[in-house]
Amino acid sequence: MPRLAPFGYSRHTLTLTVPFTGVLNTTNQVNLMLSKTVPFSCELERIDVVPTTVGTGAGATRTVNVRNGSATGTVAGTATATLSNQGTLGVVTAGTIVTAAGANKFGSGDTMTVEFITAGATAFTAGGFELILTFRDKNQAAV
Amino acid sequence: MGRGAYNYSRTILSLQIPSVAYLAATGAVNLMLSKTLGFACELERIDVVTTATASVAGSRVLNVRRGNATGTVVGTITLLLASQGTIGTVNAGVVGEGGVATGALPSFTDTDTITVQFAGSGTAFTGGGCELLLTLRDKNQAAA
Repeated sequence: MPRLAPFGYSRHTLTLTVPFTGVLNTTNQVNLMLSKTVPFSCELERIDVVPTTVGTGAGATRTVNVRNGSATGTVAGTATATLSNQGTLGVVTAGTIVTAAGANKFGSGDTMTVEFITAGATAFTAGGFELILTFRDKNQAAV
Repeated sequence: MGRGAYNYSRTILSLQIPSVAYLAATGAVNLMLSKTLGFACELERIDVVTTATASVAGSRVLNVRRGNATGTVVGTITLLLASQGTIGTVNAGVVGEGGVATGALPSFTDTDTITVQFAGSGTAFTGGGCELLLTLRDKNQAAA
């Protein structure tokens, strides 16, 4: 396990429920969460997608980006829900974190956006999942 | 509440539990299978908050396991109509190795996985819905 470190990181998770209607049943650009203020410094460490409704739809695929800033901000991480990985309830699919140039690092007061993109999208005909974001942060002053 | 520089911070991992395939069912089904946590921690609490009322009596047992669907049970809660009949009602589960409260909290290493699974059998609800809240506590640790 990671060594315990008094000045190391603690971890926190943020779960967002991704509905079928309005998100998975379209190929549109959709903001699941737009410009939420993150009032503490942290780093995005993991993205996991957990289906709670079996996905259907030939060739279905939807990519979700976590961005530092608004809907045009730097991509900090990404995950793709596909017909294949949404076919069995509960099976976890991990996304990818972008660490280059500190893209996954959020400063206190930065905003965060979770956005489904149009590129490469094919709509699902059924589905729904939980998006679990894991962050790590160090102890810091209140403000 | 005890405070200390080398003590724990907490995080809450939430999962929505839909009616379809979970509450309105009787079979074994995984809500979350073998998710890597990525950090060492202990399971401290299990709570279920009712978000949609169930209309027909049901009974479903939900287990939290260390590992996959056959891993060691480290927490359990039984959902009954009495607990699912009013929106906002909070019900606490039992935390402990083997699903038995012993006082010692179950621990996960950073490479362990966690599974949330409804056990087989039970009685299906009609309607219903809830939010599962798992409280995890961890001490400061290195990035990896």
